[in-house]
Amino acid sequence: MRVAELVIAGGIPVAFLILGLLAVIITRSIALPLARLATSAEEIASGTLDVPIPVEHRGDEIGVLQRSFLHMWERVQERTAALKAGNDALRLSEERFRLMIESVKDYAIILLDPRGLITSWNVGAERTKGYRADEIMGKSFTVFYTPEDIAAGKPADELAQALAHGRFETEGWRTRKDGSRFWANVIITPLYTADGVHFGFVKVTRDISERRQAEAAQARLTVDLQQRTTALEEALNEMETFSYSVAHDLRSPLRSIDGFSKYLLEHTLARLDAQEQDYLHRMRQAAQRMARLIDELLNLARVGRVPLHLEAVDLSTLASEIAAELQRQYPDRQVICEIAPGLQVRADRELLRMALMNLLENAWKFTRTRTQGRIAVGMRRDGDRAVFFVRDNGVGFDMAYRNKLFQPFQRLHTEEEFPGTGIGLALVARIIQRHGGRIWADAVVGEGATFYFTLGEEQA
Amino acid sequence: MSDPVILLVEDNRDDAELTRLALTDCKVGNQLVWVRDGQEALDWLYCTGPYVGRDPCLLPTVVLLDIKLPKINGLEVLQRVRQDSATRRLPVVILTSSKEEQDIIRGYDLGANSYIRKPVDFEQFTKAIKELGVYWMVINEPPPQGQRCANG
Repeated sequence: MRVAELVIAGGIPVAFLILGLLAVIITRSIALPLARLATSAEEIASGTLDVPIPVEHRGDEIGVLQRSFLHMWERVQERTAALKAGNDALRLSEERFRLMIESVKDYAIILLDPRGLITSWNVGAERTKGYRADEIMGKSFTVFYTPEDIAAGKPADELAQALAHGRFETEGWRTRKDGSRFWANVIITPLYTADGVHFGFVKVTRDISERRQAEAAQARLTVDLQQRTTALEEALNEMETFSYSVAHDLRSPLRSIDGFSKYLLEHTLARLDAQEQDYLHRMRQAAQRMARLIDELLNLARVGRVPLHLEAVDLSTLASEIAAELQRQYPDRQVICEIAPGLQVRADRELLRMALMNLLENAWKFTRTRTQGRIAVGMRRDGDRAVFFVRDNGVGFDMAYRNKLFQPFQRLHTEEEFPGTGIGLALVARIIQRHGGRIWADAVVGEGATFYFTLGEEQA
Repeated sequence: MSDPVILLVEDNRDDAELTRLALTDCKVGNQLVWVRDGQEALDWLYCTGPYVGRDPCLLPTVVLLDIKLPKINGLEVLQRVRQDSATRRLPVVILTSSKEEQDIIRGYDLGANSYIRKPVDFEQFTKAIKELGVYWMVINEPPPQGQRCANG
């Protein structure tokens, strides 16, 4: 028997045996793992992600397939988790947004479908327009317009404009459920899906009646203010003109009276008796007094309106200069004037000079009856405020009249006792007030007077 | 040749009289000629109207000219005086109560020799007039007379 025959003869059963073994091996190592993979895949496809993925440590194609499948399964799990997180966030955001819109009270935020029927209604809409959601949902937004606007085709026109331009804003009258009207600011924006399909509008309406009223009131106030300003300017101009004519036209007749009486006194003195001379003197004095009055009134008016030029001023030096001037003016007077050195202030130099001049002149005047006049200028501290004073040992005044001191034309002495116009202290008070300061006085009849003043808050 | 004169153009008779009194005090008052408005000032200067017979050779040493005057105001008078060859060098002092800057500028632009604001106070007024009189009548050297009176 040849080997080949032997093989063949004995080989058939062997071959079957081998085939059988192969089938078992194939079933065990290929078909089963594939079947398990298929089952897992089906479960995953049906939504169950938590399935066991059969993985054997094999170097063949089945092993590669198993590992690829595992890798894919892991990616599916990651993507699913990400999707879920995204969905959750979106839901949360939508919910927040919805709550926010619903809770907005001052704005009516309404969603409309493309035809203008109402699909959403917030608290603000209810408050603004008076309808509850269940009354208005599904109705046309034209109910908010006035009959005139509806007749003019405004509602449809506004939607068309919003569509054409991507946004439409207007202000106008709108009506509430009860028929009352309010002035509204309206913004209409068309809404599109991500694919660009138009699915409606969002309409934001705000009742700005109050703002409009406030604006109208403001406008009225502005006009009113302008009119008042104009009137004031006119009045001021008139006063300038008046002051000018007072200064020149009214003083010119006084010049005649004074001038001619002076001429008569100088040239006809010998022919006049004592009484006639006295009358002429009185005429001159009266004319001069009136001229002084006019000057001081003009000063008083001017002090009220000239702009302040604040600068550092040495009050001590200023007072010393004035005192020296007065000393020269009244050489026969015995006055000791003590002025505290180094009093620095911020003030308008000319106005402060005018004020000090008046105060010191008064001090000079009212110490006339003293053989030794004493005047002091100084400063004392009242908390952190500097209080300046001008003190004299003159005749003083009754404190009962202290309220009248600083009013124009109020005098506490007769012209014969102490000549004056009654304007000096009013002028001083106005100057101090212009500086934001305060003035007051203290006096004892027969012992003297002290005038105190401050010069605003910023003084050292 | 006659005595030199001051021509006072002033509509306020009191001011005119006070000016005269003040000038009298400094011994130049008797040479004062007083006219009441701009028209009369021009008539006097150019010997027209009521002054037709006046000697045209007699020009004032100085003109004291108010601005606010009836008919023709002081600035118009000054303009005419400066335009006329016979009077263009005539000393003209503006003496007015106007403190308006525009008037002062116009006055100088038109060729005023001086601009004096009338003091409202009588003493100062008298003092100013006296000084004016002395300055223009005594101290100042007047311009030579024009061709009109070359031999006058």
